[in-house]
Amino acid sequence: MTRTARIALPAVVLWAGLAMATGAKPHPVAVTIEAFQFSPSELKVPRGTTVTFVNKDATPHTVTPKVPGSFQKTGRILSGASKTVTFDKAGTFDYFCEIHTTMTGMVVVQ
Amino acid sequence: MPTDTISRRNVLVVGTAATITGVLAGPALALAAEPGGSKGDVAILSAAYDLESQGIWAYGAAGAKLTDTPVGKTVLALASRNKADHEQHRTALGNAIRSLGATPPEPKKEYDLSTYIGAGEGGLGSDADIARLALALEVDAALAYQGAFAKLKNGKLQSAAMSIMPVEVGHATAIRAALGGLMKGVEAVPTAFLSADTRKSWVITG
Repeated sequence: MTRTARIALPAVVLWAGLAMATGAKPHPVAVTIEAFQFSPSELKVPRGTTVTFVNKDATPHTVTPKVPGSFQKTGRILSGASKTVTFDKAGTFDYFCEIHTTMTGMVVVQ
Repeated sequence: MPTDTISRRNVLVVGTAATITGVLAGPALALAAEPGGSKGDVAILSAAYDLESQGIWAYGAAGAKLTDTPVGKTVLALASRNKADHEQHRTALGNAIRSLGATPPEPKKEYDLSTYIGAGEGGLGSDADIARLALALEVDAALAYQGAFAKLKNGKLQSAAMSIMPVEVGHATAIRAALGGLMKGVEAVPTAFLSADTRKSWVITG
């Protein structure tokens, strides 16, 4: 697990608990795409969370569900651009980049 | 139709690209394959390995669709040359990955290039479309390596891996040179810099 993931994961879980306790709308979360890697590559979020995928590489990437249709794929995310996905259903959502298929990540929606 | 001109230019550019590859890519990367990498290095090298597999597959698949015309033959000559370079890159990257104690990703039976075709950056409908698709893949490989290889933590590996990047630019330049004989206003080197900001100038949309 990357340093970013180690920091981000507990923060997200802590926030999720607070959100559920207060009934507040889930806070948006960001995933950075850099050097052929999603960071954090594993994310736990409450239902209804919007995840923003930010491409910091010079080349396009995609965020595509491994199970087609399990969430809306982003299509191309050009360099410097970002796209959002809202996870409304609980479950584990594995994803990958269609262009660089070794790039994988996972969002666990609670 | 300046077919002879295209062919001569093609031979010249392809010859130059071959020389660059021979001098830099193979031996340099083999020397750098030493322990001392990290998970991040393996992720970068594995993605690069997969990108080379994608290129090899794409040139093979596209090559079978090229026509027997002078244009088709010109593009086929480029495709064969570039594919051979990608095979050498993949071998060198595979050795580097293994030297870090990891296993290279298995090449896929086929790759999805629909994001390129959907963006109008080439296709499989004509020889020129195939060349434009190859161009987009080569430009993105160069851009990907430029950014990702700079983040390799193993210094020796980084400098060796970086020797692949100019060859990808060489491939893109060779394709643009060939397309320049077919399309007006296509220069072999369209900008002084190759970066995410100038990508649009290098890739030819239809």
